[in-house]
Amino acid sequence: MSVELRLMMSPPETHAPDDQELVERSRSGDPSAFEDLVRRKTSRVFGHCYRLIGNAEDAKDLAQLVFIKLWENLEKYDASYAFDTWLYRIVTNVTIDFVRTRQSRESAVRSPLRLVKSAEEAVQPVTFQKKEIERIFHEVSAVLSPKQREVFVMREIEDIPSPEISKILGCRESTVRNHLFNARKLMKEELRRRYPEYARLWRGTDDLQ
Amino acid sequence: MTCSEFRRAFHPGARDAEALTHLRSCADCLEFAVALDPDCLFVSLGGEELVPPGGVDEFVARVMGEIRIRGTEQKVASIRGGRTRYWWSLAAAIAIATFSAVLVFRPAMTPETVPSAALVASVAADRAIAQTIVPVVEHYEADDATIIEIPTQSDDDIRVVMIFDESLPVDL
Repeated sequence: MSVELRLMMSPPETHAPDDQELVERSRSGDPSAFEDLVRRKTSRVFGHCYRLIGNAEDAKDLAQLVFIKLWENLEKYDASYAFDTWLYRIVTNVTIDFVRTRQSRESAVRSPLRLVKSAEEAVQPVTFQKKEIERIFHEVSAVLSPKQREVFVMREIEDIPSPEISKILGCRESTVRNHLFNARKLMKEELRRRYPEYARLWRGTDDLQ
Repeated sequence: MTCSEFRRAFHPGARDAEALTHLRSCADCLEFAVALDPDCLFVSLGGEELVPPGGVDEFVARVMGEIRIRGTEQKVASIRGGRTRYWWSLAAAIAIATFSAVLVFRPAMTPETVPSAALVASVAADRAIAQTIVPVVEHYEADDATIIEIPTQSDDDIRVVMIFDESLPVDL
């Protein structure tokens, strides 16, 4: 499903070299091939980092780190595997490390402080603007563990199928489904706590009561 | 896909590509879908290309610049590493040569072979005694004997001769 979506969104260029070809040329010392690869993957890598972190500047730094690691480890890439899976593995390792470090730093600095919006304060109208949903997502997803957040972003926002996520994270598909189930549940609970105006829109969703 | 088609076909958990594309582009249908399936709220965030601050070109240039710097650093480090390796190997070669030389020339330099003053005196005394002693065998002839003379370095050295003759008495 995700492949179809990607094809619909950005039609493939007929004469553009594929990822494997660019990797091979990069390995043989062609810097312009690696530059093309970076250009091609920038949006996906940055987008993933941004959705995981919620800060554009940090996401930019992390995306840069991902590409540097990619360049340093290019020799280790096994061409029998999909390049995107391998790239995502590097991305998830880098972002999980970052999120864990940030979580431990934040919990050490201000663990008792947590702003929870009350139902009385929720007087703002519900909007379905992307920017607003994005802001809410970054607030609400803070309750997830780094792994849960990775799975949620990859499956729900980036439309990556569960079998591919399991390959990226190096775990079983059932573990991916578990992470996704728990992540959805926690997100709904947190959304209802912080943004009850959105929860009021839900009809017939018994798992929220 | 039109809004009415989307609403007619939509059901909780629906994630087909066409429906997702419409969901992510129509705020009204998103509101409709969220009412039936709350998970759709964040699903709507997908499908858009996110660009780093400053744009893709600036980002790519930054990445490639960093890679060039790191590449240069690695080259310099390997050159430095090579020089260090050269000096270490030179030092190791000198150490091995010195050790080998000590092993080879050790017998000539041991205290046993370098005569001390006392030893020289003792040898001189022995030599003086030996010169006064009449040799046990002055002339010897035998058909079956094997006679071996140990070569001497000068005429006044004691001549040592070994006689292997089974007919000679044991206590000669």
